[in-house]
Amino acid sequence: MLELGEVIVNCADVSVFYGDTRAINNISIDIEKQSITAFIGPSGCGKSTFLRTINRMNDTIDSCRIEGRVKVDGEDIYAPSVDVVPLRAKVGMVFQKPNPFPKSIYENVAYGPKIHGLSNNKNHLDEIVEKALTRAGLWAEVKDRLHDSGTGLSGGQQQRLCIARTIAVEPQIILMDEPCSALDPIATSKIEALMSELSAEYTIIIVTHSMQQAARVSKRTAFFHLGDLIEYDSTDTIFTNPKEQKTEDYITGRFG
Amino acid sequence: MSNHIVETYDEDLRELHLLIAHMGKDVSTALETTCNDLVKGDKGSADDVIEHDKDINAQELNINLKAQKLLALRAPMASDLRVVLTSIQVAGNLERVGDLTKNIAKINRKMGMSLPANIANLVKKMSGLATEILRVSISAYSNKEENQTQKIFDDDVTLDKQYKELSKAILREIKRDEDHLEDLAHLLFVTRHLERIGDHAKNIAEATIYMCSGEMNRFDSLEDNQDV
Repeated sequence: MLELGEVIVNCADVSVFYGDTRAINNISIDIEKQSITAFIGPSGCGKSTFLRTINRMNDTIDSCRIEGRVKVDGEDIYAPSVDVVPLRAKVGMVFQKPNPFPKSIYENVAYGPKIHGLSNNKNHLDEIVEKALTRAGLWAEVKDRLHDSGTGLSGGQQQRLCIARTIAVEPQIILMDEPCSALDPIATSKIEALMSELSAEYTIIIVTHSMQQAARVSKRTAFFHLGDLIEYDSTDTIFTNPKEQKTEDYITGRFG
Repeated sequence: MSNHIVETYDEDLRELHLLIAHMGKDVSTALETTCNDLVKGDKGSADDVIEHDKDINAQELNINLKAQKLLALRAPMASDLRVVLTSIQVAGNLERVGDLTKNIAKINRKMGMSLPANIANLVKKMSGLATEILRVSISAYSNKEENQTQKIFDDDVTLDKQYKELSKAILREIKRDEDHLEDLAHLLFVTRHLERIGDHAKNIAEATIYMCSGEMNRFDSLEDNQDV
């Protein structure tokens, strides 16, 4: 039985539908605070859909409907009173392809704190930008060209800029949807090292197709298949001695 | 279990498995031949066994290289990972059994006396059991038969008892027959080697359990709990 520390995300009987198609079947899972949890599974298994239920990103899809309950930090995020804008600041997201705004490096990071009213003056905003870029491991590389375009950075730098943009609004949780799949191994290593540092302060949930990446970075791993949560355990157990045959077959490369 | 999507991965694992089975057969045959000859006072096989140990060492090296390649290129997970890890362990244990067998063959080559009947019987009994334990351990590993391992642990306890019995008999003989002190002292080493071979078989059994179930355990032998 998996023992978790303090829980920050609590999902109970969550099902997700796209029109009549059920993409997620009755999933219940608790996610540990300030820890890294990996979601793995073959394409179409529902792991990204499930990830997106945690900050209501699925709301942007008209045909998408959700049943069950998702609590973040004790609050039901699908309650009618919930405003998704602060929710998405609290539960930030980093996507597969780095997607900086077509603005300067500085503006990319400053944008969120500005719209969320987190800074009251220019000096304070400068501090927030520097702090976020430092935490994202990018400050030393960009401090002399903060007003250059964010899109002029390398892919790995752009992804760290997106992470800086996410953490600038002080989230509690960072959702990462295949954050390294467009990056080379060196840039990937930098992101992985960064994730490990960030997990001291933030809760990270990562969807990845790289089994080695899940094994390297995460403390817990959840294996999804055809919309079901097949197995959820410590990463060590999942990759050395999983309990379910389906998990074993998937991680050893016997079906995909 | 179904096959891997990448067929060459299956072939690599199968090859590793066959190499272990082949090495196991070589090592246990050498042990059986050497012990039989020692009991009979026949030195015919000794040189061959000593020479063949080089080949056994080379087999261990080859298995380690294949396992290293599999780890580096395939990044095996779960049961595959356990197969590769234990192949390195099992090959290492078999290599040690090969060395101990070589030492027994060298002792056989040096022996000037024929073994007294009571000692010959005890050596026969003990070497027969050591060979049997080794055979069963190799077979359990090769066939992934976790249920065969309990027999190995039980038999190893018996082997430890036989070791004590035989050692005492040799010590008594040393007191009685000082003229053959050197031969009998060598024979004490043979008993020690046979007892060690039982421990290596036990290690292989533990590796089998780990490979089959992922459980990592050490089973204490009688010797671990008693003064020798």
